[in-house]
Amino acid sequence: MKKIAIIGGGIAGSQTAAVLADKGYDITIVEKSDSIGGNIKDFGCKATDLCLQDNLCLVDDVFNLVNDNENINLMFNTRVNDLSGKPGCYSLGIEREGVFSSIDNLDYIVLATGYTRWSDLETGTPEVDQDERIMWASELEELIKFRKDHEQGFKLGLKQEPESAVFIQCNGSRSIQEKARYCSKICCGYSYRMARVLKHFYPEIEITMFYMDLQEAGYLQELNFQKLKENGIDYINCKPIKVYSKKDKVNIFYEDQNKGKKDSLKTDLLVLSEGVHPKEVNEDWSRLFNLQLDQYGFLYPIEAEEKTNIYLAGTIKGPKDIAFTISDSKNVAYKIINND
Amino acid sequence: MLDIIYIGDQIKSPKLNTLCIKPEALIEFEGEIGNFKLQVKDDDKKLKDLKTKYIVINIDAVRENNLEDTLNLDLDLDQLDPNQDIIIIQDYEQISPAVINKEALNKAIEIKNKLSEKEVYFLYRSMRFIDDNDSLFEEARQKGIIFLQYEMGNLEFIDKDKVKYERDGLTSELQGQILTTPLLKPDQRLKRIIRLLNIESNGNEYIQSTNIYLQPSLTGKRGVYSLAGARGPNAYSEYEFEKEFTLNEIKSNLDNFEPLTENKRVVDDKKCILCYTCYRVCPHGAVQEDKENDAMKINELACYGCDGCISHCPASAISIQEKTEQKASNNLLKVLMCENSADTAYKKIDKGSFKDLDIEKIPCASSIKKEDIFKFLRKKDSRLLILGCFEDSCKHITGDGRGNRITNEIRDTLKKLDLNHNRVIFERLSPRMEEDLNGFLLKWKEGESS
Amino acid sequence: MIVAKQKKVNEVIDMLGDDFNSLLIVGCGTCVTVSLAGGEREVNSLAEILRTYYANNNRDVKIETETVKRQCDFEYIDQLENLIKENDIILSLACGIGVQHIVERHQDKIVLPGLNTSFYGATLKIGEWSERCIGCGECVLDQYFGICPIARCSKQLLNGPCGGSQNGSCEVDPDIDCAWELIYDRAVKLDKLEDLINYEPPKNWEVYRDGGPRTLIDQEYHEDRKE
Repeated sequence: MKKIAIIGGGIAGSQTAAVLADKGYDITIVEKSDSIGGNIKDFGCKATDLCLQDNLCLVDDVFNLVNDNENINLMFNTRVNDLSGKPGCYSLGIEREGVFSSIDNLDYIVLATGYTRWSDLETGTPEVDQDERIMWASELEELIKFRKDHEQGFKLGLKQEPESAVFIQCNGSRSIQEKARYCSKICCGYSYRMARVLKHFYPEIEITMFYMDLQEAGYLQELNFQKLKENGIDYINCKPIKVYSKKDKVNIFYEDQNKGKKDSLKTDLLVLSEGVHPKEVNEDWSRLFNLQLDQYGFLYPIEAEEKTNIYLAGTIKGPKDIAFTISDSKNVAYKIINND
Repeated sequence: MLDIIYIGDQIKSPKLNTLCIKPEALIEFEGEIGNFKLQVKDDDKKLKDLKTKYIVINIDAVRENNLEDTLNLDLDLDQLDPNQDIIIIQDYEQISPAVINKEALNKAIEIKNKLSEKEVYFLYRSMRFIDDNDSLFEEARQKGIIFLQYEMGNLEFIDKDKVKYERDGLTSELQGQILTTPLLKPDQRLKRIIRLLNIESNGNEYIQSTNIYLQPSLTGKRGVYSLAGARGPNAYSEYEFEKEFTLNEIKSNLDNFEPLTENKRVVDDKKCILCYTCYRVCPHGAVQEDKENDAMKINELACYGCDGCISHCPASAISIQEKTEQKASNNLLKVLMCENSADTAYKKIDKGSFKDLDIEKIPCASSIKKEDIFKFLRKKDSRLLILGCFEDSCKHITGDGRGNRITNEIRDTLKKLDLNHNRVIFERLSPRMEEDLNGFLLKWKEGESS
Repeated sequence: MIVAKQKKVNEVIDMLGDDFNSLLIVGCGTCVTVSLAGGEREVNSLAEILRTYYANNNRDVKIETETVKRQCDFEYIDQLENLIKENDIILSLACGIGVQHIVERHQDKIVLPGLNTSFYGATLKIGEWSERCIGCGECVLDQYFGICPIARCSKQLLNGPCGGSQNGSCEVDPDIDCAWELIYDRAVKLDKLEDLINYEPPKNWEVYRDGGPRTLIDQEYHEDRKE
């Protein structure tokens, strides 16, 4: 049976592997960490009393399939550092705990190394480190992860339980300075869901969202201002100018575009959205696999994938939400099957 | 045997054997993936039998002019009076889908390019960004198009060419030629197709589009896909990708269709009274009438094995072939876990504390039977916990609702019998709620109940 | 078909009383199975509910179940003869006809109704039925374009609406469609509006229940039986 190497064991790589392995292909997943799961591992279900359609239900099944399928060989703590051969007969040079070897006779290679979070790159906001009331979305994720729907009165565990919360959107996206003029596509829906979770546990909490443009999040969520309003979320169209951490509250200064003047807002929980950014390793991939880097650092093929037998799956190509990443990865698998 | 029959509009599908029929041409429908049988009336009113492996419903949404007395978005630019300003109104009554937003932005830019001396006002409630909508928006702003956000109630039509606009206490009147974005409505023929094919739709006359298992173009029925306006206005946003996905998925599996379940569900034709309850209940359209045997039958390839039909059949005529009998147990605590949600979460838990619970995996919360549950409740002090999915993340589309409803009926009955109704509890869980599950199971075990 | 609804289970228990040791629940496999009230599934569920109740209240009651095709024909009731004789009480999950038919064959038995017989109706969707006919004995559907003003107009008006209907809804209950609006709409669709101008004299109610309980005799078979 044809042999395929999939680089990256996140949801994109795993979904592609699951479809191909089911068709009998001989799959090797090369993963740099010690388990499959990637970024998506860290996300918890955002259902309150309602499903908020974050699509995480679709994910664990895929990982279970990958773990159980005998056509899939998992290589952990392994990095790819070389490519040789030609379409239909590639060799992938790999390094595992200091030992160099290769995977040979590969018919296809799928690159699915995903994205990196803005919080992993960003360095210039000292308040985030110093003030526990200012946090990245992923830090709030950690706090609400241990909520139990069936326990009344869940607390975030901060020194002071919040009476209000502010979300700043387009952090690390839509910014020319950060070389990310694009929209990360996932953060609006994500913050909206987070806000719903907070509202669920703190019905009285006042929530404000600063946004540039509100992104319709994926296929599922008909996210719009009406919806925010229905859920008691205020929205202000701008990126705040400055954030000060004061003793009692965090002060946020912004320009009210409607009134055309400076205004300010006080809160005790400030959540910064995290944009989707390309991984630095994309530069290596572009050289190694002869792929094109776009102006932001995401990858796209130079020659038709059907000719090179090198395919790209998931957020390596640009921001995608979970549902879209899953569909895209299935589509990559189908393309390989249909190309045979 | 065709590969695909398109109902509605044809899609270019190289290397596939396809045919396109009009929605009104479909007369009869039966069969399952790999072997759908359609009776179609052609233009000469002759009946024709067709067979196909797959079906793609691709019926455009219908565009309706939003307000009389206003111009349409798709008008010819020459129809515009070059001496008057232009007012484009989007989202009146109904928030426009992203695809209409895109059209409106494009039109605004086109108009501004042509009538650069005139003001172009763009009134909207919500910008919906897909593809390059954001750059269009930016381009439009740079060109000097004036964007004004309004709320319903703050915009008033005074005259054919005049609107009053209010925001933050400031009122202004705008005068000019008014263009409104169209409303998208489901094609009326879609209803009939949904009925003939017996597919789940979410009640708004479009084909179900919010269930997470039906993304990006699947329907509840295996082998039937829906695209674009058949699916709903928002499906236009990713139409190109969804089309590609659909064709690739179909191409990758043109032969050798395998059943999705291990054990066949069979209808006892001596017991079946053809009441069509199973047909109505099946979220996957897997049931149809077996005219030869005068009974209903379950299509093996279409069945997802949720067992909703078994629990709902009023004549107890449906059963699982070769089902292994559950071992009888004297345990007073029993948990029924939906295999798509709770059981997936349970796999991640340290099970040490739950060794003394009877835990049974069930295909769907809608498969629970009153009869079996009361049999269990006969043991004094026995308690039952049913764990199902959240709405919209139920693999069997409407199973969560049915499971919940059956449980409520059981609780009602217990109340009427003066028995403790909290002996039976239904909870919703997702595969990622293992923390919740752990905490909840511990509490439930201790005897606390919500 | 005949649409029925199961009696509340506490009412069933009150009705059964304390003075019995064995019970037979008999289902009916036609109309009431379709209306999800008295088929095999309901019979088995009710049996389990009652067993649970008696077990939890420390009462030893034997409960048996059986479902026949129709309780309105003696041949099917006769199939149950032994079972009926063996049990103290018979609970029939059929329409009122079934209950009485068992009584007619088993004069010495207590036969109780498990259902409330509701009406002749049609299924609108799963679990939802609507009255369409009252069995008035003289069908007038031809004059009203297939919509019955006797069954579907709350006031059984034959010569136009009452004036109380609003937006297509009956003034008795907004969930009821105004039958006369439906009749009117059909007439417009069929281009026969002028037919409705004809005055319709009062209906002959003798063929309904007003002439007492009714019997229908098919002459052909009746002659045979006489001989």
